[in-house]
Amino acid sequence: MSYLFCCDNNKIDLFIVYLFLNLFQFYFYFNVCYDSYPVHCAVLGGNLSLLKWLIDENCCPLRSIRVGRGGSKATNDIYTPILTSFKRSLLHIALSKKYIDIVRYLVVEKHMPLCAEMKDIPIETLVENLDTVLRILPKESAQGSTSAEMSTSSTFRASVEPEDSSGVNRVEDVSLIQREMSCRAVPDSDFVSIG
Amino acid sequence: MMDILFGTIRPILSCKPISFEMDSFTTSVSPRTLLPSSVIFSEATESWVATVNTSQKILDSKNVEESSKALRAFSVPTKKQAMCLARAWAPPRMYPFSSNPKCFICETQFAVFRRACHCRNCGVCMCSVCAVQWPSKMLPATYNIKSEDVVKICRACDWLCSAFRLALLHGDYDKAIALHATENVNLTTPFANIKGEVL
Repeated sequence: MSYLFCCDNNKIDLFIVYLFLNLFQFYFYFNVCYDSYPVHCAVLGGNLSLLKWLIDENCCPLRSIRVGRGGSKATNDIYTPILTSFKRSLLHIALSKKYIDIVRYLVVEKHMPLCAEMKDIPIETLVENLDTVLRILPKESAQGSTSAEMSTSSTFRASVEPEDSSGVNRVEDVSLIQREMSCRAVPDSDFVSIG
Repeated sequence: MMDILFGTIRPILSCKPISFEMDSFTTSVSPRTLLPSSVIFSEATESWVATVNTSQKILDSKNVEESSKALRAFSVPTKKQAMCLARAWAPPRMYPFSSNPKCFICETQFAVFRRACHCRNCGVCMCSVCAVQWPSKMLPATYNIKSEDVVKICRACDWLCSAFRLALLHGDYDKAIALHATENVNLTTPFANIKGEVL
């Protein structure tokens, strides 16, 4: 419609501007695309059973390693999480949404190092997550050692317990957690992605 | 004469609107037939090797020397991963144009000015009206042997992909499993070109 308007009024310069605007959109349509992997969508959805189905049943890749002739042992050992086009990793999404069960699954069972994400995650997000964890914790310990969840999440609890006793979540405490997690979580080579 | 040149033209009034309901599209999705792939254990490297045929033409020509060139192999540590990889990366078999004179989606006859093309995701024959363009990174690299930037996908696959993405985003377990059971969903490739959504 804007083209017609310009032609009617003999405004050639406006016509050219509109034309360029359209070309600009056209260019961006093909070049800028926001992409995210199915695992990212599952984490954003917050359904742990769906994420487990994707990762355990269908072997969706969790980290990208270089495959083929170029990949040496040293480059493959560097942990490179798969990212969306906004440079967000799985842990980043789970932490910012405060899905504690998914964070636990990724860190404890899938050995994703929390310390590798340190650059991108703001300290406030970590403190908020710690806050959520602390709110959940007393419930679990009150249930006693008979619950099945406790045995699986024992490692996770062990790292958070010192915080629980102090009762205050300071910034130093968060760094303490990270140090403890980093010595346990080793990048594994179970998952391969190609491309 | 018009039919030969332009194919059968859909009558405008009886043209049924495309509904995006679950039932109407799951029936029309054609499950893809994958090209043969194999999984073997390699003792030298102590890893499982998934081998995938990439070219249907070379495979059908029965030329052993050529077909060995079209194979691609990936090695992974466990058997399960190799099976998943072979299933995810084996490209679909394209339906021959000769036996499919009609568009799979809108069922109009192909003609001189209504050319048929293949859906790269499931292999059905469709006309260009029913084709949706995807960036090539939405498909595994073995699907795209011509290494095009933009690939043509039938509307059914496009709907399936977006419905699967929405099911994941809403955390709908049953729907996601049901959509994945149609076998046309790629799990190892990103969903791309989704506008207005910040992930």
